[in-house]
Amino acid sequence: MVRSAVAEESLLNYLVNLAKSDVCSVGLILGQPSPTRDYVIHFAKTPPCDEDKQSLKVKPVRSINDYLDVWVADHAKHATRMLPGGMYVLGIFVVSQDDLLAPFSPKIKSILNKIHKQLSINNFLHGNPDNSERIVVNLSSKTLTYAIKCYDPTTSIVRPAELKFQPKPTKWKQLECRYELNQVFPLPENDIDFSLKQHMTDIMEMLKVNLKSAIFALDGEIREPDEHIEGLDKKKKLQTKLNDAPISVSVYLPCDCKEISQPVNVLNYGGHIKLTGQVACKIWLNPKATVRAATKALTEDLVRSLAARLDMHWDSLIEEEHGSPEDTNSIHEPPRRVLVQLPNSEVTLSDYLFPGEGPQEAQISLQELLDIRVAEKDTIKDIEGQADLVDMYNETLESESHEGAGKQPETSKMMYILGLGVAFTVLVVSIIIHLLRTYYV
Amino acid sequence: MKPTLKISETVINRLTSVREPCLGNLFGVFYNKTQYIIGLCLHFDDENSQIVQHFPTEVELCGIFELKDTIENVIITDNPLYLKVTIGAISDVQASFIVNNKLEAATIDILTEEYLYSQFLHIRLKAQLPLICNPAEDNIKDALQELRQHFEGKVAFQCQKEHVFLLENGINGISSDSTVGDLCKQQLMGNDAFNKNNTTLDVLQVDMFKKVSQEVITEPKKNHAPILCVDKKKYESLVMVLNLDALSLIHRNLPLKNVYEILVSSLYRNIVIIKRTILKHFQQSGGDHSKISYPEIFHFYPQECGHFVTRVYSKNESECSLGTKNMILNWNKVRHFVTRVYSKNESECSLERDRKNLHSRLLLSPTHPIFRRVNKYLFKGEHHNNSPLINPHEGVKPTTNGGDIGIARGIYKYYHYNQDKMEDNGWGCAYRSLQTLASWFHLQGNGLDLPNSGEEVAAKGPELLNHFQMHGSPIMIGGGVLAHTILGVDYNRQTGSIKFLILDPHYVGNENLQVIQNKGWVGWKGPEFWDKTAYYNMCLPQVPRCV
Repeated sequence: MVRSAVAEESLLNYLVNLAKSDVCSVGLILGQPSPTRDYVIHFAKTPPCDEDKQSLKVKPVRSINDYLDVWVADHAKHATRMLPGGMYVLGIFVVSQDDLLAPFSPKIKSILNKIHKQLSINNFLHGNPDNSERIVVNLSSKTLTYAIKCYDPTTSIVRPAELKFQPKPTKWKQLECRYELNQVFPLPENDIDFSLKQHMTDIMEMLKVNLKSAIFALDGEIREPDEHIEGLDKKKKLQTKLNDAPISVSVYLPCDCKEISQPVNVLNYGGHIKLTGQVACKIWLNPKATVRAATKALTEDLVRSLAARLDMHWDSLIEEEHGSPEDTNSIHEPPRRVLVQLPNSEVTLSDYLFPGEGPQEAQISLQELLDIRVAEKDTIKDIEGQADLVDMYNETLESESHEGAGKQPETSKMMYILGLGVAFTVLVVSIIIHLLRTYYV
Repeated sequence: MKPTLKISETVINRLTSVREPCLGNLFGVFYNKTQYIIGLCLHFDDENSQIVQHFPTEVELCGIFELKDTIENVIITDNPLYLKVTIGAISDVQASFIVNNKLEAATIDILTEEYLYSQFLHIRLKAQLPLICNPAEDNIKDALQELRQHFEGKVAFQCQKEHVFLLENGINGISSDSTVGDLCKQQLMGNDAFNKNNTTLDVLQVDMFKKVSQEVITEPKKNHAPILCVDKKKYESLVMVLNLDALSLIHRNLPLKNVYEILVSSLYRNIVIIKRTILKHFQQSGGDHSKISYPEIFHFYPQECGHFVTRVYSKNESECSLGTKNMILNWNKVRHFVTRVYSKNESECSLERDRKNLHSRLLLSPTHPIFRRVNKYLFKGEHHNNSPLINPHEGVKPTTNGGDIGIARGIYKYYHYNQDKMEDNGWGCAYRSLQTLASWFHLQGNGLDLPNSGEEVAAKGPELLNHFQMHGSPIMIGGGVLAHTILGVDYNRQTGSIKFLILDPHYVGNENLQVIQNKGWVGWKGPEFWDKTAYYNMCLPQVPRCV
């Protein structure tokens, strides 16, 4: 079967507009794969590759060979962080003068290989879909016609594919969930010197494993895995809610203690990590998607979103905050999720804002990474909210007060510029409250 | 309107066999204008009020009983039901409902076990919860208290083997007007068709899930994006797995949607009794962490009660079975005095004291153990597939002799040829019979005592009947080459005719109850079963009196 994809007509206009300039443009194809067809939701041009940031002088890109593989792959990583669960970087588009698909350009292969490799690094991001094949759309800026192929980086096989631009938009189903994190993770004495990043990787792994045995209720009903999302509303005749209202998802985990190896023990711990707050999940599914696909997408959304914000948080920390072996108590506040609506589509993507950042910071990253201009502030929805760290701090202080040590919060603000010669500048304000260091020595 | 009153046979039997004046509480279930009395407990005190936690959820305190040797006067009570037993040659039982401070006589319907469980079934809820806290008494109390707070509206239940879920806001996977009984029908159809022992109770197994998501609309202000608090202070922590295992007694016609709340309260009952055991053990170990133990839940189904009694024992706590254990093999003519074992500690231990206390409160005979760990009720599926069958005689074609029947009490395992990959076909029957006998003793919570004898088996009717009534242990019999186990007798005093319930160890197949029963490897046999010319030895094990 030939792999086929559908996209809205407006997306073709985007490519045609890119063809008007005489540069070669490469970008990402974002969307949702399904057993029958791929649903493309967005094309996002990879920002100009400029290694010499200081000069801010953009030299025109004439050929695809001027794009660094790692550059496009890095773009894919950042874009993946912004995608809801069930959506992936489906492939790339190239707007060029020459035909790059017949014969299939080795440069395209090399870019796709790099993307695949880059997205495999962090499993929690779920960057590579189950079917590792990716699509390539090539628009000729001479003829304004396009061709499409697909290529599998794991097997190096090139296959034909088709893409249809259709006037009718896809009717997406939206699912929402607020996943509560409220758990204390004790740290074994021997592991206490591990970095916070290592500890969080373990915690994420545990979360991922637990979610495998979870059950999901859609609008209060547990459905058969093979049921179609589309049919769910019809069954609920008494439901008065609007057809396009989001389906609310509840998550239940089995009550077992698999992670505890002995039925009883008194253990010594070197400390603990307390995780609180909630992850707001919102996913979009094509109407043919099954309940099984929905739960998979939701799980991926949750894990991906947590992984994305933690990654951004680690990137923003200065060296010594990464988990120095000193006995430092601290509160870490990774960036929070905001939702951004795509132009010409109801689908929302995510962005992450550090404490103190507002919609204007999101506007910058959205333009850089997704090539969309969000004019109004209200298209950016702050759905999770910021924690009141003063409260949090007082709480901690109260519980520790019997220790008798005075503690002062210490606030550090810093500016951070994304590394690797990446051109996107993200203003980061990170508030980290250090509780006093050595109070039981 | 006055409710209909149904009192369980076992309650009446226990009350009418008591000869001393006494007072106590009655426990039961109320459903559809009918008060079912199924349990009792002697005395009024703190301990008495706690006993209800050991009964299945939905069984509640519902009245009092009073045993008197005179007819007059009535004690004052605010319980709705008053049962007066006048002690006599045949004790007289009278029931009254208390309406507006006046007694109104009520008619008593006798409730048989069979009828009770045709109306009600059990739901067994299992869940594991972690108990993690500072290893100090107050912290443990707080942590257990906190566990309870997590249940309200935050759990879901799944009926095993079925896609039926009970959520906080409705039921799933079955039509919303279904009853508990509907679910049981469905579940039973999936089980082995032939395994319909009379004594097997319908038990619905239910697993618990905890909700980890929040409704999108609720309290948006309190929410915030995830944050991490890292505390590097060293600390000591108790980490304990609580294996919750809670029973509820539920009418089959109860709408399934009403079950959610009952299951939540069954968790509360479970935690209350677990808490008691944890704290007791914690105090006993004197804060020594190396001695710390965890609670285990056991469900007992004493035949004399006709309902479940749930107990929690600390894993490490010894049962202190007997001051002395007698192991005497006493065959006819030849006496082998095998061994006599003294346990290290002859003084009563706390668990034995508890058991004695419980026996007396529930008016159970103190002659044999009921609440030891090994006495626990075996639920369907807790019995391994190819391990020896338990009580294969249950469900055999009944005897037709019309006499007094005495049958081995309790449970045993059926040992026969070729088990455990041992080909003992042709020579192992005596050994297998002895294994069967030993299993009975083990499962009754006793050591092994095997004295006394008899010849002319067929003429031993009264003696055998007496044995089963007094001791209730299976009898091992060997004649010439063939050994068998006698599980019961049906002795007709009028005609003198006798039948024997025989278990045959010569069976060589696998553990297939149907074959074993239909081909007569267990069943009622007449006196002709015994070879009149052969010589038989009998072993009638005597059972020590203990609890």
